[in-house]
Amino acid sequence: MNKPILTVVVPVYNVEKYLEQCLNSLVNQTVINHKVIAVDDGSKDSSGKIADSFAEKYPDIVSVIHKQNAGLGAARNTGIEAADTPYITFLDSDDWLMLNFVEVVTKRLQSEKEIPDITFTMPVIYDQVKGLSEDWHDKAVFEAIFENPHAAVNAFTDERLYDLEVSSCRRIFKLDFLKQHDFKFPVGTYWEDVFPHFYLVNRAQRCIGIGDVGFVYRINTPSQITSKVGTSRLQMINVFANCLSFAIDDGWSKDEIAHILNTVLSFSHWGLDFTMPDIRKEFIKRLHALFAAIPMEYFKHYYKKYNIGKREKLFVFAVRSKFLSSFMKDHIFVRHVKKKAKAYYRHLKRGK
Amino acid sequence: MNELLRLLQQKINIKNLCIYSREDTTAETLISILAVLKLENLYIISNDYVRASFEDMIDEFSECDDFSDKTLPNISYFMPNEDLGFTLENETDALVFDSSENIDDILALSNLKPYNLIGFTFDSSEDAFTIWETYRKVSHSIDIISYPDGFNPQAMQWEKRDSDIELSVVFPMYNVAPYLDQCVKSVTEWDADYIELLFVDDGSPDNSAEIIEGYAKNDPRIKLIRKPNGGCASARQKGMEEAKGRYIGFIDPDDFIDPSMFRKLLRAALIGNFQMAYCGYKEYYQSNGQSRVAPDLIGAPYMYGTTNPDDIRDLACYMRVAIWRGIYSMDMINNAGIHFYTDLRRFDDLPFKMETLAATKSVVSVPEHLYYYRLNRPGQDVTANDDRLYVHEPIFKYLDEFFKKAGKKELVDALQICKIHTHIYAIEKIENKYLKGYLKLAQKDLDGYGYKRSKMLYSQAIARSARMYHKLIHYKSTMLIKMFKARQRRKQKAGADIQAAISNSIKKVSK
Repeated sequence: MNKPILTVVVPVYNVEKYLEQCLNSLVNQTVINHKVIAVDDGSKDSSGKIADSFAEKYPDIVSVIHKQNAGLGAARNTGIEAADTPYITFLDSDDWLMLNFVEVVTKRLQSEKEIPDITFTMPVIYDQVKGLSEDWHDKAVFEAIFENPHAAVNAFTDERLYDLEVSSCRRIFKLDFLKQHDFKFPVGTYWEDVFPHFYLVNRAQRCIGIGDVGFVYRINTPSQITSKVGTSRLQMINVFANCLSFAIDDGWSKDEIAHILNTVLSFSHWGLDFTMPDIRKEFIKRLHALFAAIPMEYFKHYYKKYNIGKREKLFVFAVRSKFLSSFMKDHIFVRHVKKKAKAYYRHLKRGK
Repeated sequence: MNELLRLLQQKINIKNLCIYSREDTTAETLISILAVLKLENLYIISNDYVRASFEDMIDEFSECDDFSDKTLPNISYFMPNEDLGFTLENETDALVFDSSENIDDILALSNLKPYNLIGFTFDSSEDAFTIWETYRKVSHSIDIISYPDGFNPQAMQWEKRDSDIELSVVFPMYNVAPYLDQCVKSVTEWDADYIELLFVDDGSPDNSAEIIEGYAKNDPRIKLIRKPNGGCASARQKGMEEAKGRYIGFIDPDDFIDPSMFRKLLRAALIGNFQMAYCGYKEYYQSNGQSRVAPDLIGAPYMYGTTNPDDIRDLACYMRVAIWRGIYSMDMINNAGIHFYTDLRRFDDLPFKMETLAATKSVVSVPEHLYYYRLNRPGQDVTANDDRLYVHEPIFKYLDEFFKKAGKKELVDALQICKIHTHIYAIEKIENKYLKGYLKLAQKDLDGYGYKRSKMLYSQAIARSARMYHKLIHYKSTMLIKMFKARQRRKQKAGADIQAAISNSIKKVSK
């Protein structure tokens, strides 16, 4: 048997419901040219046992590492350390992999003369409540970047790479590339994909895209009624602050920082939309601190580059101002002001 | 991704696949299946024309370089009405059908007893439901993708469970003997054997229980549960605990339904795997035997089925509290820990409605009025106009707790909107001597959200008169509320008078 080419790292934490499907999709690939490292991150349910039973049944493919709970980032790092194949990818344990993933990826990677640092794949969203699949969020951008399926790009030839979805699971990394940059996922924080996305895309020399295969991303599980949005939302701002300060220290151009700002803004809108009032208060306070610390020139560059409209500019202006941002603590109030402002605007127009 | 391919990848252990198709496009799908799945046997049932395209495709496939290392499964072809000589009873077998031009052919294939059934129908929701009704006896999992409105796909995700019952209907009975006959007849007219009708006798002093026992002799679906008197909530709760169905519905036995109601609800719910389905209802007037439609949210987007949280939240805000015209997924109820609050003596349906709508992720409506709600009968809850209405206070206390746990700001806002509507309903109904006490409770309840905040919320969401009520409740001004109530009543009456005048003058023209 050939030496396997790909390692799939699966961090496992309390997912007994979905783990079996995930591992099944890994051991039933059409071509076996990969290894699976399941990192049991101190699961409290039977997830660890399920993973062990797979390792027993498929000793050539699956190995399990049990460790104390330390979060997703740490579990992935453990996987990176244990991997010994030329390529590595990650899979969350409630998702699963298309069955021809390894086959298609192997064929493509073996046909490449130079080894690509990052290979982007095209995941599919599976809405469990509807029971139907949907296109991945950034399909249009992806197809525009990899219009020529055989060409390799990097962040200097095509900046739109920064605008791809930040998920690490949709990427296949060259292991040497990660080791060469001494790369580790951030530990002990949520949003562990954000910083690696910008950092690695910036460092990669060759990126290719495979549009046919990817993992299947499960959303909207019917049984969970409490939303996970809580204080974890607040960590998002620290993550972006670290990311921005790193980029500035590293001497990134304003163009590149504009891409980070774009992500920051879309995340902050999303963060504001879904938080409970008490968390929103703290969230807006920190968001103000972050926005106020970023010099206006970066924002101006971002506006120009992305053709940003009035509404978004107003949002940034309001968050940057200590006085105005203090009024954004309550979504009801914001909606109220918007409604009043619209009515007033209409009134002014009519007056003319 | 092709839905069929996704389904086959999810059901990972399928080795023997039987495909029934009259469309040559299926052949292309088949190639992608062969590229991804390792099959042992492939049976293709089709007519000559389609068979030729299958053969072409498979030849092309085996010659293609990309797939040269694949081993093809054993392929055998059959004609549609041929004697097949195999069954698909094992866990590794699946039957796939494409399009339902001829639904009888598909129904005839049920003698294959497929363990897994996967299919696509384009014509109507009726087809998918008929196929399900036939195959549910033999299959263990049924996935049918259909297009009920012609455009948007809906996916049935049916798995066999230990219990064979798909729908449980709970009837809390207390002193309803005169109405029972009509109710039972309207419910039992649908002859499906996969439903159970649970009549919970809440210690009724009349002969309701004996009547049901009489019916139960001839109809095995009817079950009688006896319990000491404890109120409607406790009876419903008891019924819910005993229910074995995939879905559960509640009927008040003094009302009656259109005989097709439960079939339509179950059909709508099953074909899209919705967690809740409901229809509209009519008010039936006992005194003159007439009925009138109760306006409600049953049209678009709900009739197409929705998973949009904003739409579902709108239902929580504005839908009438009438839990008996819906069916609810038992899984959803159990996962969310929803139960009836047995210490509530009335209005126990309000918390149930709010909690199910907070927990549910997909809703579908049947845009017809199929439930008859009997009015003009003394002793019914709707006529309560004294301190019994104070019960809203504990109800909202429970609801506050439940919604806090769910932790979604939209839902908390929805609850606040529901609160003001309920309080206005009560204030308009309540007798003047209980008004003061009620106002005290309502004010405390509403201001928990913050007076200014709720004012802003209401300015976006509710009618002007309701906003006026909110102000008056906040200042607990009994006198002003009385005046405002009178004004509202006058306005209502004036409105009705104007309406009558208009209709009279138009009538004159027709003469």
